[in-house]
Amino acid sequence: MKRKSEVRSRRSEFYGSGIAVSLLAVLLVVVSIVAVMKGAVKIDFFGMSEIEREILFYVRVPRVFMAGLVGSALAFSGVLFQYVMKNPLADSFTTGVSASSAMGAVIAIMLGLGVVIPLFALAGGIIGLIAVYKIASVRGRVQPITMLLAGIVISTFSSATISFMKFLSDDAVSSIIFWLMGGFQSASVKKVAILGFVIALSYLMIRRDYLSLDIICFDDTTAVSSGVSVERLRRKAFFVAALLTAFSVGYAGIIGFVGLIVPHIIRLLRFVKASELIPLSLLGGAFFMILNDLIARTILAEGQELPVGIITSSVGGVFFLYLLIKRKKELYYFD
Amino acid sequence: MIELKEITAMQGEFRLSVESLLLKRGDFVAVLGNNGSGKSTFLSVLAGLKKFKGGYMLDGEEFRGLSSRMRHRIISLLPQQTSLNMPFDVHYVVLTGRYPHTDGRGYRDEDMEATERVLREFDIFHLRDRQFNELSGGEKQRVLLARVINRDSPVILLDEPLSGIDLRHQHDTLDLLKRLSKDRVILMVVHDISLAVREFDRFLFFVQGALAYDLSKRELDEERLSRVFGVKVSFIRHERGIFVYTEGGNG
Amino acid sequence: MKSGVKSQKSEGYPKRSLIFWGRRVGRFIFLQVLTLTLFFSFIGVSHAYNRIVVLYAAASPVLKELKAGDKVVGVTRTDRTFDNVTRVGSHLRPNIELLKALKPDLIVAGSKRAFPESFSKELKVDVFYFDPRTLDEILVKIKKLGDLLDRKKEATTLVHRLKEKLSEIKPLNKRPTVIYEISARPLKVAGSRSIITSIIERAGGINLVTVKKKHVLISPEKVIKLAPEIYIYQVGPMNKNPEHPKKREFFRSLKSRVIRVDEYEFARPGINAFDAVLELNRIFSEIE
Repeated sequence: MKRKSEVRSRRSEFYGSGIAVSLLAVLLVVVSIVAVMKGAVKIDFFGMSEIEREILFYVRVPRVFMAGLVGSALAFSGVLFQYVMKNPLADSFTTGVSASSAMGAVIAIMLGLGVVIPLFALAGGIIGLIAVYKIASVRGRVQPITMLLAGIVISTFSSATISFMKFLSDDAVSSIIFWLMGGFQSASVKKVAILGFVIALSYLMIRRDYLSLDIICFDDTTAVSSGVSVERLRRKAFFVAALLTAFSVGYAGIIGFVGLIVPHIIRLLRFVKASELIPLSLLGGAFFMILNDLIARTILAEGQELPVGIITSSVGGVFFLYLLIKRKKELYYFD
Repeated sequence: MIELKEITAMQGEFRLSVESLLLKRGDFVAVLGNNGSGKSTFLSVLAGLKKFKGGYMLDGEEFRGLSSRMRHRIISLLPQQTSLNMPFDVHYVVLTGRYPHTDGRGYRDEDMEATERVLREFDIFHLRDRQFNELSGGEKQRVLLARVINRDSPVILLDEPLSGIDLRHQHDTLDLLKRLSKDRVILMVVHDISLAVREFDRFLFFVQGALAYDLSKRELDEERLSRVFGVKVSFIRHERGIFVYTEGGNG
Repeated sequence: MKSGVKSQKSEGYPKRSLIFWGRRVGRFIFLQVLTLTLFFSFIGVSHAYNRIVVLYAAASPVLKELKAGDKVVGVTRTDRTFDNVTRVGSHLRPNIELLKALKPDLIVAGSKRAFPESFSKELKVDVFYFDPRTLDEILVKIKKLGDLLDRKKEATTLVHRLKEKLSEIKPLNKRPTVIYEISARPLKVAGSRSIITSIIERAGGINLVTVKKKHVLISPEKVIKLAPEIYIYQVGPMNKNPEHPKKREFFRSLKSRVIRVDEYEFARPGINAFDAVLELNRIFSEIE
């Protein structure tokens, strides 16, 4: 009897994460509805004029989707970087992928190639990724600590390059700074579709590896002797994470902290297995970003906006302070 | 079960060599030798964690031809040190031992049931919801042992599994392992010679990277032991078994 | 003064109003001293400005028109008004060593943000801030520069000429509504504190964006809702090769007539602004 009840209690844990997923999904739907309803322009939903319909379907709805997808992508990539690097503070920043993507974007701005910014960001991100990977891998093995150091080097180099380019043309400064702050103004159905496809693909690629992702949280010897191809899994997760980062930076600029905050909160809520952490991070990232963008575009009057990065970074800063002061233990154990 | 022929493996400057070795189901083997003599390297080679030259047959098949998952269905290894950087609970840590048996997507009911059994066997059922990293050293070691046993593999490799475990649980663990060894191969790196001599029935001695002796309990003698360890070893034979007395220095 | 009266009325907080008044008086004395110092220093050296560094390119043509070009010894990297002068770097980050070596006695800067007063103290040099927000302010600044450089006659002539120019403006039957794009990515438009607004208004139009800022980061949907008759986008360093507004998906319902202008001609608060007014006025009347 007891044995059966144990199995059942583990099952109920599974349902627990199921409840969390549904709850978060409901929250996501609610915040999305609010985000679609609110905006610089007041839309009368029961008697929409032609222009209101246009605004709703071609400006606001794509933007809400875009914010959600970028949030998901960043949170997802954060989780993956944390698995690969075995470091709770790892995300697209610390690996240098964000910075090198931004470098690509800024080069595009400097060259006056405004239209192909996302392509340049992607190229920059992948170059940064390959550089980090080359530096950090010894005979096909990626060393987590070396990778972190390599990430710092790449970030520093990219920031230096960006600063240099800023210096070269003072007038484009505001444009570059905003780029580094991120935003969703230029959302479009096409971008939403591409980003959605990239996330869906990444999700399907990683979904098969939930159990092994958990096992690479052990030391390498334990993980390998559990039958997990650790190096192959790390490489895969790393590339998927870089892909997600490059697309988000390419479309929306660097938006900091999401890849750290969202997975952290979910872990603090005791969802620590990949099978819980990844779906919840996808939902949580979308929720968090839609909310932030909603604030960014409605907090000021007369259709003015704030760069969304300011909001995520200030929320993120406060949260991180809390984490460092109150929850040191969790950080320590993760290490 | 395990058949080795002219195995060599390099670990930096260090060279491990095993002329030939045959291990059968039912072997309960102590792996002995001084620090740096190659015991852990030997276990790593057996578990497929290190490249090697030579012939290695596992359960009648060429080891190199087996997939990673197949190998680790047959072999489970407890490394000397284990770290975990996610706040998993004890139940989940033990459950992950079943990974090679799954399709990689989820654990089945039978994995859950096996895990519960092992938790009880190792007297850690009451810890099952605790965070692994919050346990004491000895408790952790028992959880990790349980994780390895949970694999239910015919070959079990244990690198100093008893370190940090209290006496009572050491005894329980050894009894359990002995019972399990009836139809399996269990290799265990041991430093305590008295314990080894008392509990095991086959002994592998490593000296400077080479498998120097492969002895049964009857073949043990004081002189060879003294030479292997570089201390004077004497046996005190008693009706309840052999007790080992060691003297340091120039023996 | 208004706020002073208010705080006097709020009798519940006598202490606060005391502090308030204290500050007020303090600031007053400080400003008086400052003005007096500046006043005397101007009297003392008004004829001595012979080495000018221009850190704001829009001011250079003014100096040229005032026939003070020979006094200019340094300009920013992008300034092409004068030949044979030292380039001292960018307007936000001039090279201090180069600046010092030039031994200027007057620096013409764009704003306090670009060239803080502490810099001028350090360099022991006077600063003139050329930061007009309207066409009228440009004229005022020209006069002031004329006074400072002992070019009063030239200044009067220039001001007169510019005013003449404005008289060429053709009256319009209806004032067209306008939004002026500063940069596409991010989408920033000219607010009421921008010289652009003054240009648009003089040319006979209305800037629909009334936010009291120079540049306004704006929601694309707001632009659509405001539905300007004319959407002007500038091309220049602030907006390098922007996508044509009609090609941007979020602007697909923007019905405005789109006009492309040169940033150098429009967004610089100098003499060019007066030509920009005429050009814009011409465009407006053509559309009519």
